[in-house]
Amino acid sequence: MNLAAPSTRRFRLPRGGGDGQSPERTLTSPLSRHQPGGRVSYAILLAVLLFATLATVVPLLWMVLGGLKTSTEIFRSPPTFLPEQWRWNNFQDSWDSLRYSLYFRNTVALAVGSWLIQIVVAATAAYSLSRLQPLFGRVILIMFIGTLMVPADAYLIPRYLTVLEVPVFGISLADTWWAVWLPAAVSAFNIFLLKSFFDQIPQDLTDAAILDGANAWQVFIQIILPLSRPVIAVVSIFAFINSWKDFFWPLLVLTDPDLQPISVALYRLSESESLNLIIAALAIASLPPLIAFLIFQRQIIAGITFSGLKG
Amino acid sequence: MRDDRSYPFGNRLSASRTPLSRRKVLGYGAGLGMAAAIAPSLRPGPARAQDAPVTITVNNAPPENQPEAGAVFEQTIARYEEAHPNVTVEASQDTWDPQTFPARLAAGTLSDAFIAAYTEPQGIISRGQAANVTSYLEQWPYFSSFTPEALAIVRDAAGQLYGFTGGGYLLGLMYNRAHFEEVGLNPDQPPTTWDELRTAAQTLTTNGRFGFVETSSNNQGGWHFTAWMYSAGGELISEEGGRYTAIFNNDTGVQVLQYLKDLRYTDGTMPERQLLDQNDTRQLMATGQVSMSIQAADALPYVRETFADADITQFGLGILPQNGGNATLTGGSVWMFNPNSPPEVLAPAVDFSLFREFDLQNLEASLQADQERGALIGWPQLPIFTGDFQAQRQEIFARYANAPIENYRPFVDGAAGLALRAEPPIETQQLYAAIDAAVQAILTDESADPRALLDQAAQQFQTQVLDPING
Amino acid sequence: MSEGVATGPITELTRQSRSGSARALAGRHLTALAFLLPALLLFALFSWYPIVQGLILSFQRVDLVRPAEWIGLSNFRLIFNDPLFYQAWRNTGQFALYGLLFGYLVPFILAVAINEARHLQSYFRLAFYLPVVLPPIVSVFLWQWIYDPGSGLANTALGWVGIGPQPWLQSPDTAMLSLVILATWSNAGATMLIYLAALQGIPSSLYDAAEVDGASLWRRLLDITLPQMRFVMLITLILQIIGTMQVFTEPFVLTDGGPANATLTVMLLLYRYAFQYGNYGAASAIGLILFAALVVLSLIYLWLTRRFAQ
Repeated sequence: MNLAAPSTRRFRLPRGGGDGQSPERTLTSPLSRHQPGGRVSYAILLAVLLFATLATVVPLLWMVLGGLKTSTEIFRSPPTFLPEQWRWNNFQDSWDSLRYSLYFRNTVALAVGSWLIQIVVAATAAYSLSRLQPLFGRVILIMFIGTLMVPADAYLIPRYLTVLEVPVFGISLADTWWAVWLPAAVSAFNIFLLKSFFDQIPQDLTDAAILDGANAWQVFIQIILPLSRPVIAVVSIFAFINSWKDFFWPLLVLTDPDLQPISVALYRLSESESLNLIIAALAIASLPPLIAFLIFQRQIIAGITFSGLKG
Repeated sequence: MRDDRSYPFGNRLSASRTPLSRRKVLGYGAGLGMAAAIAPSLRPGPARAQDAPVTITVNNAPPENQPEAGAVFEQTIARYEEAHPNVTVEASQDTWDPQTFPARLAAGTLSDAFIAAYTEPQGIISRGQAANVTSYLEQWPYFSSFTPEALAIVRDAAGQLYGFTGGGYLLGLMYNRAHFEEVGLNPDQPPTTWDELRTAAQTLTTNGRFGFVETSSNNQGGWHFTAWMYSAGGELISEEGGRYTAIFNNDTGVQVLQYLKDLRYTDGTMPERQLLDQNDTRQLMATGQVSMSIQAADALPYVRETFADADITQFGLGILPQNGGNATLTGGSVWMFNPNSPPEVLAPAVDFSLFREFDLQNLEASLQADQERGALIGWPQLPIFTGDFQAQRQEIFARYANAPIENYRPFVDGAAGLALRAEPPIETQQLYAAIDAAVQAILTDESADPRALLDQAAQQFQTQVLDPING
Repeated sequence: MSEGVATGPITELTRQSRSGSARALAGRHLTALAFLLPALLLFALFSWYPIVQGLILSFQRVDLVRPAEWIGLSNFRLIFNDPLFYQAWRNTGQFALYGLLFGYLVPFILAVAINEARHLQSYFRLAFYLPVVLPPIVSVFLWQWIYDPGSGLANTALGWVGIGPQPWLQSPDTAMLSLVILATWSNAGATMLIYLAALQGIPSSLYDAAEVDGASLWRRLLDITLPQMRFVMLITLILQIIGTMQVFTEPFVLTDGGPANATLTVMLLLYRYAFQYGNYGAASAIGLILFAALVVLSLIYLWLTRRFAQ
């Protein structure tokens, strides 16, 4: 059987390079665009859009250039655009003096851990709800989904206190990575997304395996998960990017500098570091998510389009 | 920087965002002493297995962006561990920060030995959040050399001690001597009154630079406001029969804000960029954008460590400009200890903290290393010891001093004639936070009314903080 | 087998056990529960329990030093007496309002325009989405520098087009607006992509028919595009309001609520009560009020989703 079939059908990736294609009409028709007036308007539209992209591109460029200036030039008023002396070693200095390699490792560890736990928790729960008919499954699903109604920040304090002393277990997770990993796994959105996907996987695929004597776990591992690669990829990418972007929660629960991710470390160190090195550090911190984005562009855009809300 | 050496007092604090930072200053000390360049180490508390392995956690290690200072501190740890093979010291860069300190304290995630600003110990003691370390401290041979003030801040009503002062500071005026010369002012005679400061700021505002800058965020607006109040003889809080009243919305307070407003808007001698804290103003000084600002003397080593491009010999220190109060604000940093740490940890934690700050041999070795790496040594500090011990410390500092000490003469000489006033006693950081908003408004809104702002801040502090305490 | 029942609730395991014994049934429930267990446990610990706990804490004195103690409505009295509480709500409302103005309009215009572009479309999508990927702490620090009155890019750029320097974060009047611009810059790309997807779902036959009827471009936008987008725009509207009610990082890092509390938001006030004043009970009370407000919004959202789904 064609294992890829259900996934590609269900989870259509949008066209990656939309350039010059899509003959279908939108507000304007292809015809009108080829009339002289239409051509001019269209050219203006493109020009305006190109100009508008400066609003996002220039600040990023500005950041990289700022990271190359000296500690005094960066305060020049009016500012210089190109550095007078190109201080390439700012990036090296920034990397070294801010212990970047440590914070990078921490950030990666937090992202990987959050990702792994999120996937395991969401996939097992979604599988159970989708296929195993647990007792009170419907109630449980509603209770999961209900948490989407209120963002976690609204009960920040009790959640923080829970981390300080986990009920039943009576331990404190503060200043451990678990304090970030475990709460990150509480994502009803992931469960919902995976469950809707699992619901679409044809019965006969799993039935066949069961006839062959596979148990629930084997069905999950050998059939459901492989078939769900695209949606898991989307959940994974968001788990990674969100974890990389996380600031507020790690700031609260990771007070030990040796455990902090880049975002928190940058916040702490910005207080006592020269601005040019901080700006260089910002540029470095932007790289991994930017690279991830460029590589996984299509999946990310598909994910946003599909979910309609995550960013 | 932190620790001991050149700025013998809890310095790193200074490097942090905190008002605390404000604490380190003038150095002369006095002390008692006993001989010994070899400070015997504390004999850990009640009898316990002298050599059972123990790990202690301490904070306020130099931040990662000061790796050379970090290396010097590593040596301090190594020396200590060598002398105490059973002790392992784990040091964290974590330091005191008014924004997160209460949370960390409450959460119990602070290290065995932790540093805090002078604003904190009384509250910490009253809430039972620090260990009683009286017995450990009293065993320290130089214990009796502490100035009374250095211990009063960590003593409870029953006379028990919950820590010790690591360093003290008083606020003064940091200024750029090169800028003074450039505009024809005498760099050896910095302004000493409000009027002189205002005139100097006007003269110095030229060539795209601003004459003066003041802090207004991270509770440092309230902190400096307090200093300005003292310089004009004002009071912030009154106490009667255990009940506290916010009175900083008095005429003196209005006068202070009006003065800042005049500098900012009437004269245009302060930059448009505001909401600054002390690290920002130090950066503005270090990069030559501003000529004068209120600082503690630890601004000097901070600038030296953080801004490789800055010429430290350009900077001079004067006293906090006065307006009849003849006083300046003083504070410091204290070492306190986690009440949850068991005695076998507490004893070496106290011992190590004393060692890192005060051990004479270690001080000398650290200063030597600091001198070799080009750190600034010899900037003025507020003495926290008296007698022989202080004299010995002074002597060691003098031996390695490389700072342009003449530049600080206006500060050292002038401070001798000023009263040193402590920070307000109750919920000080919240007081500062309330005043921050008023100072920010004055510095960012040309039409702001000083009295209305202070009334609002005083009312808020009274109802939200003082009234619940008054009960 | 069983062609076409894939959407039904009857699963293979059910079928298998239907003929089985009670023991098999119990085993099936246990298996189902075992798979649910990690999620149940974590939701219980970090979501359900804290939500209930938040309610309780609001009526207690909690400082993490002394044991918690019931104090009735004192926490609410404290925050209702705090002038900053009202200011924080006003500021948050202002942020939400500005946020709608920018965060709502900008992505819509971008999406409509990009949807018309037949060239460079993927570049446009990429360029406008880039800031969304940046860690917030990066955008925030970057914009702090951009907003610098003297050496910042913002005033320099205004200078190029002949507009005088603005105070940006340095004035109570413009600080909030500056934060909204930053927030829009960081987030508009995500909303834009959602709109773009919705636009691409509009059948071209609708436009064709309108054009045949002689409808102008403007009319087609109003009569076809907007109504077709109504649902998705409504959803993003509510989601955006919910998001803006929790704004924290930008004011926390950039202004710490200043100048003069002009950017003090509800979350920032909550943070201060808890982590600076050590009053976790009062902070929970603020959280409870925020919680209630968000639940109301979420219910509106649900109601709308349902209504439009039909």
